[in-house]
Amino acid sequence: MTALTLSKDILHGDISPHTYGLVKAKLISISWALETGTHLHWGFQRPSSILLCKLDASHPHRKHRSKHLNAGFVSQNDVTIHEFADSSKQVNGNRLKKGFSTKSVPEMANSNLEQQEELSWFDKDLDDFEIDSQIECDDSEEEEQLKESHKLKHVGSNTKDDDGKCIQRMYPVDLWLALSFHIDPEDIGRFAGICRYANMAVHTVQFWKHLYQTYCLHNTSILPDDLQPCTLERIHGLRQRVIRSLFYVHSPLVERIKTTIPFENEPYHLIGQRCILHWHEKVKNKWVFNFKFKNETITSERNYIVERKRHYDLFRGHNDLFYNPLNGCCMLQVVCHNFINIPPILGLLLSQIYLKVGHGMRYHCLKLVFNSSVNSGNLSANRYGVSGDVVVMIDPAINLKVFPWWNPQYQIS
Amino acid sequence: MPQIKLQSSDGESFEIDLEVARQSVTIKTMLEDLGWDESDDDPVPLPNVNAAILKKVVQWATFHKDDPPPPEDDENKEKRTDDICTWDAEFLKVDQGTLFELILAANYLDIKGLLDVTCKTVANMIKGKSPEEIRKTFNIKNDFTPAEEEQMMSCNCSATME
Repeated sequence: MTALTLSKDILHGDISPHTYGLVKAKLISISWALETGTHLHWGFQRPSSILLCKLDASHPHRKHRSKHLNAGFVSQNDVTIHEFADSSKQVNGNRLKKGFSTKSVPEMANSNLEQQEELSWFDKDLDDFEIDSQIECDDSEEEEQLKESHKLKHVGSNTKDDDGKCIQRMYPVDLWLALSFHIDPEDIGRFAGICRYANMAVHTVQFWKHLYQTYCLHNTSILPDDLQPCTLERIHGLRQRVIRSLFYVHSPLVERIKTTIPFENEPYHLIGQRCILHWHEKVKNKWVFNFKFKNETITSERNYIVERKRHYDLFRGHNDLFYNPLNGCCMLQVVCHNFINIPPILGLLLSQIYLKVGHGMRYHCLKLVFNSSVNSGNLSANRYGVSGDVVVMIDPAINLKVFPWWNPQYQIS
Repeated sequence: MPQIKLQSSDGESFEIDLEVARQSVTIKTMLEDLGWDESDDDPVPLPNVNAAILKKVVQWATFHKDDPPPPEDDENKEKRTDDICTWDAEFLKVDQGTLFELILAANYLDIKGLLDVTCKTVANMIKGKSPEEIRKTFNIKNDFTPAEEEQMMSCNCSATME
């Protein structure tokens, strides 16, 4: 309905100029509401009721229709504030939901208004104010689609590729949780890489406890004190403890870390890591030199896919399943015939490693170059004739091993 | 032998022995809670299982109705994935979709034996395969973003257990 229709009505003598003024005000408020997305129950219904009262008085034959008109106008035809996206109130059963309609609310309202332009507003019957059946149809179709997508999210869902050939599925998290309890420890990494839900399943406290109970509980005698079953009670760092336990008891993992020949582990990946500890001990006429390094580029084992909640709560204290102070740590163990005095290297970065045949051509010679920064390792001497490098030369080196933090031979304390 | 009717999500009814149905902890609990007796003729609705899968579940439960109940401390026993009996292995020669639906049904109905055997079958199929190969085998959608995949590749955590 437009102002033009209204002016026609005035010309025909159907409504008075006063009523015209009220209706025009109402139209302005409608268009304002449609543009701004605000609603107008008050700015709209009140003039409407005034208008209808006036109409009833001037047109007695329309009296029986006034209620219909009012009801139809407010509840079915026009847009109320409750039909806007952020409304919390349910309006009828046909309320269009947020992000759900193909037509926006203003579009829908405009199409209704256009439809009604043919007839005078006052001449329309209740049926004329009904919402377009096509919109209802779209609505129900989309509700079906929404239900369908919701269903697919929880029961295995099919996804077609663009070419329509391959059907890919998404299964609910229940399936991945059930499956995760049957995955071998050596397959966990691959399992976690299948999809988000699989990844989520292997990042639960239940999963890691189950792993320990399944593979470690029957063989606790070979586990050190800090990996005994009582440690399961503490969630903080549980994942790290279960991984370390598995490398003690689970044969495929034990086999994996078993070294058979000397110098099997290459130490070159330790370059750039910081020495956090070193010590030596005498074992059967041989000297064993141990160096602990920490890769500072690996800050945490955070899983960014599964957002974890807080790491601390007041009642249970620290409860970060992924807490791992050993993360990025490695131990270099070098066996030597004779004692070698190690200069102070604590806190220095390992800038170079040279492993070559020793003087006697029988054993190896290991040269470790430390510096306060990685880049300065290759620099020549400064103006005082001091290069700043700290060199550790172990010659002859009988054996050399590198143990990552999960290896049972990595010494925790 | 008392009989009970089970109704699938698509409305199909299956009349089976009560003892067979009681292998499902979900049904067993439901019957106990509702005080079901033999005179009841109403079917037990199973809205999460369709007729095709329910038929397979009933077939498995009928074959295994005389099996001893699983031990209580089974959780703490090291699991083997190669101890699937011949009948089960033949029974589970189905397409991957059906296999996954059977896991879901066994999980919903809480039939431990069926859940174990179906999960073991899938675990055996997963063994030694890369995530991409697994997705291809089971037609699973890769819902990781490229950034997440990259992060997983570089993540130290996966390197420890692979």
